[in-house]
Amino acid sequence: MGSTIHRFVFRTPKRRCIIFEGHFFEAEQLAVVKFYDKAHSLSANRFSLMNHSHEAAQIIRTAVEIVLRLYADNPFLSFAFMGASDTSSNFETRRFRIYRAMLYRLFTEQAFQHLQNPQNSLYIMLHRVYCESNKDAQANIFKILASIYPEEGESDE
Amino acid sequence: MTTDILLHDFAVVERSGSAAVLSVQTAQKVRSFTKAFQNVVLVLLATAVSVPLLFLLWVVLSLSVWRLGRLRPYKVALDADNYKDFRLRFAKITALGLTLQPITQLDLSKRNWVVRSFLSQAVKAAIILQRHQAEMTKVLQKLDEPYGPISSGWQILTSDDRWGNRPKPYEYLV
Repeated sequence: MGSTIHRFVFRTPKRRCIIFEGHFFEAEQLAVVKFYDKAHSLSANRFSLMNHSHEAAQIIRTAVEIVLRLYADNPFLSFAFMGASDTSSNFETRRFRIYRAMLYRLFTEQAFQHLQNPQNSLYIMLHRVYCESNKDAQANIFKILASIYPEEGESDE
Repeated sequence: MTTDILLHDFAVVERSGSAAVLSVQTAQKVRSFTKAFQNVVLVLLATAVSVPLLFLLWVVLSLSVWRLGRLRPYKVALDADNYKDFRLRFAKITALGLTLQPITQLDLSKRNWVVRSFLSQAVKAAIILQRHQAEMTKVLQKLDEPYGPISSGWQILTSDDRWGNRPKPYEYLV
């Protein structure tokens, strides 16, 4: 399952450099958005490390803007997010709750079907038109997520 | 002579008393006849005015209900741009639905034909609106149907929940 990575770099008001990665799976029409602090870019746990700048809401709002940018380029994309954990538990992490709060309210039911997996802090927005026209779309998307974010045990993030 | 005069006076008085009674009685009869005559005129006048008005009202009502049916409001569609409007209309029609239920259950056979002709239009309109609400409900329920088997741990966030919890000052981005 090959993917293309789009990288976006932003600087926060507190001068932290945040890198957003949009992993684009063309065959399945899925985009997975992740972000990390540039200072942590060499770490294997870069997606989980915190920079303690207390700018989570602004950063995640920027992730939403990136979603809009990707959606404008490809109007049949579905999106997936994982709220990376800063503790040992993946259950409803803080980032997941912020993602959920924003995506829940900013994207209509008409365009996307929203699903959540609170146990693993995963959130998907399935594109309705694409999933209605392609019977295997949902199953393929779940397969990709299972490969990126195994449901039990370790997580890539 | 005096007696004659007295008798004469008495007779006159008696005659005039009877006449007075008679005249009063006649006047009463005339008055009641006039009253009745006036009531009949009034009734005729009221009928002449109200019947065409009622008929006109019935025609307007029938045309409105016919037009409502022609609009085919039960053929509903959810577009990319009308989700919010759709939801607001659905909320209004759901609130209206509570008052429509007793109207659709009216027994018209026991009413007289005038009342029946008006109430039947109200019943028709209520049925059309109920069908509209049922179709809108179907469309919204379809939003929550999964596109395939869902792995364990995944939950669909229902459209009703999300609509109820949305922050109203903010607009949707997509």
